[in-house]
Amino acid sequence: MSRTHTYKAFGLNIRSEFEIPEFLSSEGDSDVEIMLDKVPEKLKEITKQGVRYQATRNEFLLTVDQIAKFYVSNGNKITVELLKDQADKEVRLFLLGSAMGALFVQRGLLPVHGSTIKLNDKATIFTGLSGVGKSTIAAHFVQQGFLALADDISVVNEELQVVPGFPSLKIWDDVLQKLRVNNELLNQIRPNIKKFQLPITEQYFTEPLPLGNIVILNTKNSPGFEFEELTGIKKFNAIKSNTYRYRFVHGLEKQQDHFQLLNKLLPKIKVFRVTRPQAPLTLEEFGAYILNKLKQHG
Amino acid sequence: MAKKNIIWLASYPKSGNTWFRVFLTNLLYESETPANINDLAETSISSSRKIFDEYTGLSAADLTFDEIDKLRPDVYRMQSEESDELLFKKAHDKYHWVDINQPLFPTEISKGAVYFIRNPLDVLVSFAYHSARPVTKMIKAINNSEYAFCDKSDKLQNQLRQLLGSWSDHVKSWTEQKEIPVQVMRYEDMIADTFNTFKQAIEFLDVKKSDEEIEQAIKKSSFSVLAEQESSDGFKEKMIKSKAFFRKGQVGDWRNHLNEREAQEIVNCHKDIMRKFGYLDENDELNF
Repeated sequence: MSRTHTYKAFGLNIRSEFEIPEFLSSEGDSDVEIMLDKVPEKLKEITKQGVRYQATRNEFLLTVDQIAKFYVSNGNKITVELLKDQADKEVRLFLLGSAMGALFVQRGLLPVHGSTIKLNDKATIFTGLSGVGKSTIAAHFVQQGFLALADDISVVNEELQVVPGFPSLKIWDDVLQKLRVNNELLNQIRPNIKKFQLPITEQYFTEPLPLGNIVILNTKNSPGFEFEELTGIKKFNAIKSNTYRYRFVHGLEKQQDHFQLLNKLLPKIKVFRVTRPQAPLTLEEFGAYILNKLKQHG
Repeated sequence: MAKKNIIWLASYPKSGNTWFRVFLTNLLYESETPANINDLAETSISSSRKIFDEYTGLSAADLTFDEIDKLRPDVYRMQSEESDELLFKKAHDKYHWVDINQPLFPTEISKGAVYFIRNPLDVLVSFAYHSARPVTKMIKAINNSEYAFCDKSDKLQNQLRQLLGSWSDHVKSWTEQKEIPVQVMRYEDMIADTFNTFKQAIEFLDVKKSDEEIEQAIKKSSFSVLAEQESSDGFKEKMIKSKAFFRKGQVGDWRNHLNEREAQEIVNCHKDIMRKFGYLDENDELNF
């Protein structure tokens, strides 16, 4: 029998047939199994399809060409069929992204697309469109001495806490330069993509933390920062549209769970939209602006 | 069964594409007041990273440019399948094939393409202003067969990579392909005879609208309306370094900005296509 590995990530005990060095090791009974095996060719009774995925009520099948196929079922099992020779960092990139995203939705959790920082004993999620600077601002705050809980996917559980994901951030080369971090010792996420894994072991917070604020990052093509607290339907829609892979929620027929959790969550948290100029990105100034505004309003 | 319900609004940048897109919005979604330039649908931008991520279930940020290009046709197929309406999509990509048997813009879902072309000398001046770059640098871009938007590999840019090629490559790619019916619109004709050129395009697209409705939509999309909207509320498609997206829109403005040598450098590189589309006369003199 092959050796298995047990990890704790996103508040779950995960047992895997292959090594996932990004996760922290753990012990005990597993909530989720990750195995290497054949996956179904296609699913029956499909409720939603994407370009490379299919979903039914309890199943999700994703193909990443030349990398792997991922079959996620019942919120407790991910089967990986390799399309390359081994379960390397490229396979894990998509496993820890879209495949885990589908798993969270199957479990009725709320995965928010963004990174989480611990501010005043509460979790603050930085969310927004791809490329807006979610990981960047998280990396900046980590450099300032704050602790981080998650990058890219921040999972909110039924107790309305953000659960810690795993201790690294994915950062583009241009941002590493801004942060004055040398990329030579870092792991590049894929051979042709200049994005790196930045370990944050020392500044990783390992306990679930009540969610306090969600900050939606935004850019504009004019100078100056802007800050706005969102309320009512705007608040609701902002979280809905920043749910990680929202189309999966629909495919897995989890809208009801999703809305229930959102409705429970909304009165307990504040949601802000913070807008900065597209360029130049002055991280110190922007970071200080956000902290100051959150101090006044958060 | 595939539906032919996508119309590509294709052009090299700064050639009248956005003007026509605003006109179409005003024509199709009739309202009392002119459509807001900041409410043009996100789905109408074919290089949108957000739309790509949503439809593929992947993050374009985790994929290489070529991997993304190979998935883009399927994203358009899915958008076509999900829509019961005609979809208009702006594209600055040249028409190209992402692999041996697959064009970026799939034939079976494409009802047609409107291709906007403008005097490359005026394009150059507008483009340099828009991106706040010196004219000499932009001449290199417009003459460069490898030219692309958002092709940096060390950072995440707001749109997917778009291969443009040189100005001539771009024009040839769209006007010489045989897969999608194409209506060519010269910017200079759009300015000189807005009603008739726009009406021709509407007939080509098989959109049933009366002359009066077309007139109204043209009025609501006039340069002054767009420029005024931009000056009061800004325009999100403007590049940060330029002062305004809707700058002048004039024909022949290059004469105020380019010297003889600069103009010649562009003409030399694009002579054939400039002749073909009436930018050079039989003596190779500039027409505009």
